[in-house]
Amino acid sequence: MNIKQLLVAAGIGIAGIVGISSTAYTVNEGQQAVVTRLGKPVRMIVHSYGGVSEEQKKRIEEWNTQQESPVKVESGAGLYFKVPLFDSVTSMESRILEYDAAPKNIVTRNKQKLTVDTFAPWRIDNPLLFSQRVGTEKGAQLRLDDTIYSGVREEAGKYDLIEIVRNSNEPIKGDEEKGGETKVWENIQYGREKILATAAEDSRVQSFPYGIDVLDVRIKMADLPPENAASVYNRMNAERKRISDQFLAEGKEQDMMIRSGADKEAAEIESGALKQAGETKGEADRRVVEIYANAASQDPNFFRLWRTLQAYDKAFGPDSTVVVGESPFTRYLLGTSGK
Amino acid sequence: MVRREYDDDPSYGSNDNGNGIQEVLNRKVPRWGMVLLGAALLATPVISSWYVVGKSHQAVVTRVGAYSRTEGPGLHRKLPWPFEKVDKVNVQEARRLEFGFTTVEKGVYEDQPQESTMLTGDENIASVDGVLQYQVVDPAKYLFRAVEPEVLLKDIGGAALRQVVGDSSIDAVLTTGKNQIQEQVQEKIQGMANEYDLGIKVVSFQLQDVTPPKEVAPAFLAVQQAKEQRQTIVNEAEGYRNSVLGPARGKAQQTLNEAGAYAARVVGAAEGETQRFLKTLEQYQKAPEITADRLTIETLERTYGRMKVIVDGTGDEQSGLIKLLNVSGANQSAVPEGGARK
Repeated sequence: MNIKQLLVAAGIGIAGIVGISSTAYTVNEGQQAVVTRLGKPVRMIVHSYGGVSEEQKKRIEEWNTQQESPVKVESGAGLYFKVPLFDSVTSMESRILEYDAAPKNIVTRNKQKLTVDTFAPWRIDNPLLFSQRVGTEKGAQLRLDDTIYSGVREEAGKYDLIEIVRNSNEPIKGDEEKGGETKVWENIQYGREKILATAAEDSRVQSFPYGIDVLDVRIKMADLPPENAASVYNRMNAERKRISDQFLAEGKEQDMMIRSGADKEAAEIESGALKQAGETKGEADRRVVEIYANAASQDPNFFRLWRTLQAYDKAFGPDSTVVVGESPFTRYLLGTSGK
Repeated sequence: MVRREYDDDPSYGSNDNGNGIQEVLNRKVPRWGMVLLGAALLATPVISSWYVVGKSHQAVVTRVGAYSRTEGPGLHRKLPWPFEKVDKVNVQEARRLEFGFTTVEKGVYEDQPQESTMLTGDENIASVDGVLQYQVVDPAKYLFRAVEPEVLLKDIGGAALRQVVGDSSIDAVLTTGKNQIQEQVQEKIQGMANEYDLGIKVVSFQLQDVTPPKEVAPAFLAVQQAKEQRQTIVNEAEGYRNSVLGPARGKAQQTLNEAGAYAARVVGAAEGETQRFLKTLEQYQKAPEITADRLTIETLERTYGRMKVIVDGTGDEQSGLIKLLNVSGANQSAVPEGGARK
């Protein structure tokens, strides 16, 4: 084989590839496509990984029948064929895209300003409609800016701030230890989720005519603008001050209670002991009397003598002087010739 | 591409040396060139129909654009390019998203106040940081369901976190409610990810730094200090209590013991005395007169023996010595004439 033949073979090969590539095209996973013949749309390949929803099919069908010249609608990724030179294929996303708005201020029903940062996942629902009315994903951002922001602003304006922050009336339990209180809001009828759901539904309906399906509208951030935040900080500071003061007051209260209680208890303990001691001593004294009485009752006269003699013994110390008159001692000592 | 290269090749056809072209075209293609070309043509489909999937990855295979299958780790075969294409996705890796801060480099974090500052359910403001960890469980969904799943997940996470914090009190957010908040956020993120069918599984949502905003941080600190101060005061009071009650109890016990001792002493003494009395009584009953006298005399002996005794033999108290001496001093006692009389 010489170089000439090789070049001819290569030429045939290349021509073959070019021929195939100008008649066949693929709709890749994650994409959809619109086919126009000399500028006029003739065909659209709708796709979504996991299958096109019945809802979407129905929407497109309905729309298609209203068109002057309905297009051929197919679904699914894969290999498709077209007429070379006449047909041109425009591919676009079938996956979920995200609309992310810049934070914007809204005013709630109770005239509070709130800076809201919303985002919304969306899909190209009708590729042809989308390519005709919106064109590009960037164009869609502008389009959604109008519908979603206005939807959120309108819905949020119907409610008080707290409804946009919260979801339910469920009481918020404060930390008892920290001095928090359980708070209940009675006025939450809708809450963030429902308000957003309404806003999403509105945006959704408004966006279908542009071939866009808004899946959801969500709030990424909802914060008070700086000037309003300052008043919240003031309130928070005041509340914390109250809690601090309460702790200190409780401390004082406890201090006084414990100290005075201790004093009282000590006094009770001591007085109780004194009482018991008195009883013990009294009982002992009674016993003594009883013991003596029992003994004495055996011979009262002798007891009297015995006791008197004891008293004598105790009463007179070594420094005492006694003048003895008539007494048994003197009787023995002087009267009789006793000892 | 190929066609353009062919058409636009500036060297092709622009060569003005006609003979030169003919000469070149008629030249034989060398044998090794043919072999090389043939080998390249044969090898391309063979090489492009084998692929290896690493142990932490899964491969998503598309055939002419459409999803065909997902393959696990190992060596696999596919139709050669351009018919089948492979995308490998790591399904083991714990992917991480940060909320309220960004890691600049290891250990260095940058606060994102715009992202971390949020309203709580009691209309307070807290600064909340968190980390979401997730894993791809269905690589095909991960690739084909959303354009930027990561960005979407980040926004979903932020929304979920704010929603849950928006339903909690500042105290719950700062202290007690953390676990519950984490669980709820995780649940919500997973719920939304499932709703959009992103093919991911939330491994965890962890709250990181949760603090009061710096504008109110000192007041929160003051609460903490006040609480500790209360505890200190109570502890001191308890200390006082112990210092008072201990001695009181000791003193009480002392009083009781003293009373007990007194009781034992007097009762014992009384019993001893009466025993002595009873023994003496026994003797007395045997010989009353003599015993009585003996006892009397013994007593007088004992008492008179140790003191000054003046004996008045007259037996007349009114005119006798007693009167004369006028004894009524401290150390002196006038004894009426003998209690010892029977």
